[in-house]
Parts: sequence; structure tokens; C-alpha cells
Amino acid sequence: MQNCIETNDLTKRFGKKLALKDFTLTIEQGGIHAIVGSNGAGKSTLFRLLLGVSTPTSGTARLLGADCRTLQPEIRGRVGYVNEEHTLPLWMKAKEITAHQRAFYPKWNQKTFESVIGYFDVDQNQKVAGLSRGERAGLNLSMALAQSPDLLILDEPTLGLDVVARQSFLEALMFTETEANTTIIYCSHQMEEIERVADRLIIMERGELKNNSSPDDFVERVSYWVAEIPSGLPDKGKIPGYLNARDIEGQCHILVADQGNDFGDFLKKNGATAVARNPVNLERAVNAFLTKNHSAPDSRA
Amino acid sequence: MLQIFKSEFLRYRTWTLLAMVAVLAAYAFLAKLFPFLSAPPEMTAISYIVAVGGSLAFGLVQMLLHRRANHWTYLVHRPLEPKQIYFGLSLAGMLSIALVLVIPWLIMVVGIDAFTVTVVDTRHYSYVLFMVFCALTGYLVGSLTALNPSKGSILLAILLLIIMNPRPSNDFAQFAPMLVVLAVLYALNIVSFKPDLSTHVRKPWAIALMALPMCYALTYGLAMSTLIYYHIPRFIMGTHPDNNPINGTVEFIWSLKGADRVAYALEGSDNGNADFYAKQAELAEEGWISTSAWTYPRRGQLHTQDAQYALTPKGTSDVWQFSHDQMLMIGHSRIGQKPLGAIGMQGFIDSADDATDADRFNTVPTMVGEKFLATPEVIYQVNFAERRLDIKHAPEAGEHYIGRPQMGENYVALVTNKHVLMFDPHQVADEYEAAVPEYVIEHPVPVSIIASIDTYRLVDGYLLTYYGPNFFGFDQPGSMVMHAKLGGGVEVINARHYREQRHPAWVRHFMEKISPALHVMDNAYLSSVEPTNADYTSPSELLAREYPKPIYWMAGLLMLVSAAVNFLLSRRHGLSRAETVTWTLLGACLSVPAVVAFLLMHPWRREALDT
Repeated sequence: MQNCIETNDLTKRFGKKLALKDFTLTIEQGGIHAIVGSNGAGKSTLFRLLLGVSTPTSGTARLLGADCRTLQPEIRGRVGYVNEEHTLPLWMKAKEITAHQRAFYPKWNQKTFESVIGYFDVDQNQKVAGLSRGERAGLNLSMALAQSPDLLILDEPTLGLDVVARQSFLEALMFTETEANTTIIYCSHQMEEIERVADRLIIMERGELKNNSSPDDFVERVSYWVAEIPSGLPDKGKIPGYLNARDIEGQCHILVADQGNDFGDFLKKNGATAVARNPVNLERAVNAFLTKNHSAPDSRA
Repeated sequence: MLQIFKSEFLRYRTWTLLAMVAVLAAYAFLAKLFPFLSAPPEMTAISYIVAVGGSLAFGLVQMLLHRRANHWTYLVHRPLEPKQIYFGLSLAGMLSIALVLVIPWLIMVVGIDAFTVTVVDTRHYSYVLFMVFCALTGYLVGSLTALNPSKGSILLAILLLIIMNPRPSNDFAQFAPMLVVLAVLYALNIVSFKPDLSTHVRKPWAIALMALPMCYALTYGLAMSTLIYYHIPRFIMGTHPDNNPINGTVEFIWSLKGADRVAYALEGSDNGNADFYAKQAELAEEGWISTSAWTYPRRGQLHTQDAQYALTPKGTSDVWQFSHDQMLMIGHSRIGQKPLGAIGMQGFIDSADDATDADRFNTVPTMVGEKFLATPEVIYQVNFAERRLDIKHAPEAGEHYIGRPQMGENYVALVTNKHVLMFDPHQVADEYEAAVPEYVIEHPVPVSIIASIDTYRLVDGYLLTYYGPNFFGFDQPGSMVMHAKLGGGVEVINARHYREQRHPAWVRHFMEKISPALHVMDNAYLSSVEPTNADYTSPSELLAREYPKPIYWMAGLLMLVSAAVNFLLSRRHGLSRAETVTWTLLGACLSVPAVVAFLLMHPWRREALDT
């Protein structure tokens, strides 16, 4: 089966800043693939490279089997893209922009469009400039899905949406994913959204790929320990798989990656009098993963 | 493509409409101030700046709005070839510009044509084509500047100068270069409009098309660089010839006044009467005759290039305008818009409808003062009171005027390709008498190399001082003092060669040195478009010139070095073989400007080179 996305040692440099570093990723067809990462992790750069609007410093990227540097209209027609700004021609009416888009896509599915737009209260005679952010997001998603794309890239599509609009957006998205076999790349900072919709979780940090697995598998990788250590936590450099630690009312709350139950023994060896392993949710696990290398005041003090 | 066009046109529809109304309102206002089809040159210049500058800004802004990161992705990520997207966008932009310029103009011209007796020719209608082409050139330069990553894209605005500056000798020379420029700019825009705007053009033909006008602009920039390392330092040191004239150069004459000029031109003379003439000049009235060749009007020329709008006889409300369509002077009275008939080559006609081919002028005359019509071959005098057209003067066969009559206090001068003719002003003003020159002075050298002539009125004629930087051949400055005697006869008093030059050769011939090919191309183009302009030198004349030897060596060396530098830079940037060959050839042909063009058309940062 052909891969939707395939990057090999993809590197992109802007001046002295390395936005992507030897980034190798393969995404197969089908499912919703969530990409998460802190600001500046290289997500948008990756999308820009995939869509051919930026050229890699080195490495290769392929979209639906085609070299991203020379994407032909045929391939572009099979890839939908929705950005966080929901860029649309502000001077056009909703119905005009719909007709405008429809003309480009021979596989346009009016039924899908109507079903998805039904989740949003969009007045078709309203100019795009007059639509709320949620309505614009809805219109954008409706059009992107009606194109019947093989691959749909959503770059933080719910950014700035209120809870109602976000709910509608996710429902519409899940409806489509079940209706059509569209592969969706979903970039978001909202963990509850990812938890609801994602089949795969891709984590990027500082231009590097840190995880590509199902959300459940990822959560399995992270373990959360609470221990009483009178002598205090050992130096964090010595804690295997260290992600995060906090001292709350004399108890040490520790998040570590890729550690089994023998981590409890490690804590005991380092002076812990009581040790307990607790379940961890996706948001906490991802947050711990993403904040691992970010400078912050030492919370153990 | 059509959808893109519709969407983009819709975007600017309101602005287009507003601009159209604003232009129409401005036209209506200006028509109250002066005859609409005879705007003062300053007003014409302002209209060009607004139309061309506005279009350039529009092209720039239109594409900059699209190239914002998310907007750009939205625009190009669709199942359409990039060039089709650009077609749609540019078509909408160009149509908007055309509407803003064409509709108000046509409303005004059609209105004047239909409701007044003012002469309206085809050229008044077609003028809008010129305006639109210039504006579209500006638009395409603007959009190219936004789309192309080259730091020198804006330099292609030099193309506006190429199409707007000369006074072409025919319609083909007027419009063909404009169409070529538009085609070149459009092609460059298309290759620049690609999904990744940070990548430079790589096709050899595109490189050449972009580099050539850029190099042309750069030659002027490089010439201006002499300000930094030559002119300004010399000004600061007080040794610049402008503030410290060099005795022994022909240009030293400019710093002198009156008879001192004659004395300077007579220095070293072995003529026994030299001192006598120098003293005579001290008492003489001075004058000056221009030898600049004037481009006579041509049939169908842009009406903005007309030297004079009409003949308006004193004491009447009559207006006589020249119709290029009919090749007749057409008259009307401003009171009641009453037609007054026409003036043809054979005299007055009651109505232009009665004119025969023999009546029509062969060439477009230029109007001089209140009653003269001048062509290169004849000067007519119109007697409006008696409705008569007389030949005031006509030069000998094979001779033609190179400029318009020059009215002095003591004489009226006419310069032909062979002689200076000096007339008694009273005779010229006489309504009934043909003008016969009092002095006919043969040019001592071809008129094109005479920079200027000073005149000094003596008791028995005129003392004339001719001078120029190429008087005795290219780069051989000289002057000549002649005595034109009353009753005929001309005596050469002194011819002086100047060994000193105002500036060193490398400054005088800077353009030729830094890019001989561009200098030849520039002159070849301009002299073919406007052959009557003596400022432009034909390639054959250029090649016949003998420059100082170091100029040849320096020019050759710079071409070789430029080729080598471009080759090395191409290798460093990892360019393909075709690109390397193209840039090396450009360096070899266009010399130093091609090296600067290379730097402007490629990234400077190391990491960008790796891309």
C-alpha cells in the first residue's frame, strides 16, 4: 500500500535556526494522525514542505508518492489543507466561494458538503468577512471534505474556536472519517480533541520526531509515580526516563518514560519509603513529554 | 483560471470603480484649467507618475497580499498549474488598471470630440493605449518584485525609461518595444510564480531576460558610484573641475564670461588680428545659438509631445490646431465654437472637407510663436487677417533645419545641417516679405559635434565661437573663432586644440569601460527608435570611435574578470552546467554589471546555498 506521507532525513534551516532535523516519518493511508508539538517544534514547517511551498535544505519528502518539490495539480487535487487562520477570500460570499472551489474539484461531493456545513450555522449569502471564526472554520472544513481528498491536512483548525464551534468541528470531522476513507493529519494543541479523534499520535520536538504510535501505546510509555523520599529526589540526570517531577506536600510526583515496574525499586534504592504507580492520561503524558527539555524553575525545591 | 480571475476581479471591483470615478473627476477638473488635450508637461509628468507608480504599487501589493504564508498556501495548493493561477490573478489586475485608465479617458475624449469643435485625432484616442501599456509595465514590475526572490527585481523598472523616454520616429517604434517589454516581464512573472517563492529562477532564458535589463540599470548605478570615489572626494579637496575649472580644457570656457571666452579661444593664435578681435568682443553684444538637434513632430505622435497646442492670433479668439488625421490646420473661434476653415500647404481653405491631397501637409509642421509653421524643409508664415500662407524661408536643396528658429535680440537664427543662418528680426516679423539670411555661415565641422556657438555682434558682422569636447574628432576637444562678415565671407580667426581633459579617461568613458556591450546596445536601440536625436550614437559611429588605449585594456580585462568571477560564483552556488554557462557568458558580454546581477539574483546566506 502506498504511503500518504513519507519523509526521509528531511532538514530545513532558516538562517541559524534548524526548524527540522533529519526528520524521517512514514504515514500510511487511512485513519486520523495527530501531530503535536510545542510552538516552534516544526509542525507548520513540515506542512509547508509537504505542500511544496517551501524547499528542504536536505532530505526528501513525498506526498501520495509524489516528490513534494514538484507536486502536480493532480496530486494537489487529492490533498486538502485547512490552516489555523481559515484563510478564505474575505470579499466573497459563502455561496460564491463554494462555487469557486467546486469548479476546481471534479470529485466534489455536494452531499458531503451539505452534511458537514449542516453542523455550522453558515448563511450562504453572507460575505466571508462577516462570518464568525467558527463559521469560517466550518465552511473551510466543509469545502475541504467535499473535495473528497485522499489526504486532509488540518493545521490547528480549532485554534481560537469556542467550545460549541470546536464540538461541531470535531463531530463533522469524525463523521467524514467514518464515511470516507480519507487520511487525516490533524495538528492540534488540544489533547482532549486528540484523545477523541486520533488513531496515531506523532510527537515533534525541536524539529525531531519523538513518537509515532497509537495514543494508547504512547500513554503506556509514560508512567506516573508518587513516592515519599525523606532525603529528597535524586539528581534528575540520574533518574532514568525522567520527564517531570514535583514535590507536593512532601510527596514526590514523578513522570518517567519507558520505565517498567522496576522503576519503583530504583526509587526505593534512592531512599523512598513508600512508592505507588498511578494511571496517567494522554494530556498529562504529552505535556510531560513536551515540557521535558524546556527550561522551568526547579519544582522539586 | 477563470474562477481565479473572477474571484480576484471581485476583490478589487469596488476599488476599481472608485479609482475610475476619481480619475474622471480629476480629468473634469483639469479640463477647467486648460485645454484637456494640451496638458502642461508638468501635468503630463504627474499623470505618468500616478498611473505608472500606482500600477507598480498595485502589482506589488496585490502579490504581497497573496504571498503571506497561509494565503499563499491557500492560493497555490489547488489542482491548477501555477501559471494558470498567475494568469487569473494578473488578468484581473491588468483589467482593473485598464478600466481605471481607459474609461475616464474615453469619456473625456469622446465628449470633446462629440460636443466641441476642438480637433480630436485618432492619436488622442490611441494615447490611452500608450498609458495602459506603460501602466501595465509598471504593474508587472511591481508583481515581479513581490514574486521574485531576487533583490534586484525592482531594477527592471528601468524598462519604463526605455519605453517612455524616447520620441519614437514611427508608431511601430513606439509600440513594438512596449509589447516586447510587456512580453518579457510577463514571462518572468510566470517563471517566478511558483509554489516556493524563495527559489530563484534557473532557466537560462529567464536568467538572461532578467539579467539584461537589470545590468542595464546597474550600469547607471555603477556610473553613479564614481560620485563616491571620484567626484565627492575631489569636491571635498576642492580640486573638482566644477568648482575649480582647469585652465587648458575646453570646458574652462564655461567658467568665463563675455569677451574672456573669445580671448580664451584665441589663446596661442598666430593670427595677427587675434588681439584686435579679443578687444572687439569686449564691446560686443553677446548671444548664443543652440546646435542641439530637435526631433520634429511626426504624424500620429503622442499629443503630449506636441511642442505647441495651437496658433492663436493676437487680438482674436481664434484657435488653429493641427489635425494629424487630416494633415491640415483646422481653425475655430472660441466664441460660439464657429468653424474657421482650414490651412493647407497651398493656403487657406474654407472647409477641411474641401481639401485635396495637394493641400495636405507632407510632414507635421511645428507651430512657432503666433504665426509660423515650421517643417524641417520650410518655414511658413500665416497671415490670418488676409487668410494667406507664405513661405517665409526654405533652405537649399539637400539642406534641412535641425532645430526651430531661435529668436535673439539682434537676429533670428536657424541652424541647418550645413549652415547657421542669421536673419534680421524685422524682416522675419514682416508680414509680406520672405526672409533672406543676412549671414550664411557654413559649419566648420559636422553640426552634431558642435556643442554650442557663442555670438558677438561686431560693427562689421559677427564673431562666432564654436566649441565642443569632440570638435576635432572623438575625444579631441577644440574651439574655433570665426568672423562672419556683413555682406558675405567668413574668416577663421583661430582654431584651438585642447590637450587637457576635464576628467580622466576612466571617468569620461566609464559606461563604455564597465560594459561596452550594454553601451552599444543602449545606443543602438535609442538611435534606431529616435534617429534624429544626436544624443544617441549609432553602433557604426561608436565602433568607429578611437578611445584612449587604456579604456580598451580595462574594458577587456573587466570582461574577462567578470566572466571568471561569474564562473566561480556559479560553481560555489552549485548551479547546473547550463546556468554556469549562461552566467559566464553574461559576465563575458556584459562585464561588471553581470557580476552584480549575479549577486542580486542569488541567495547570500550559506544555508540558502545548500538548498
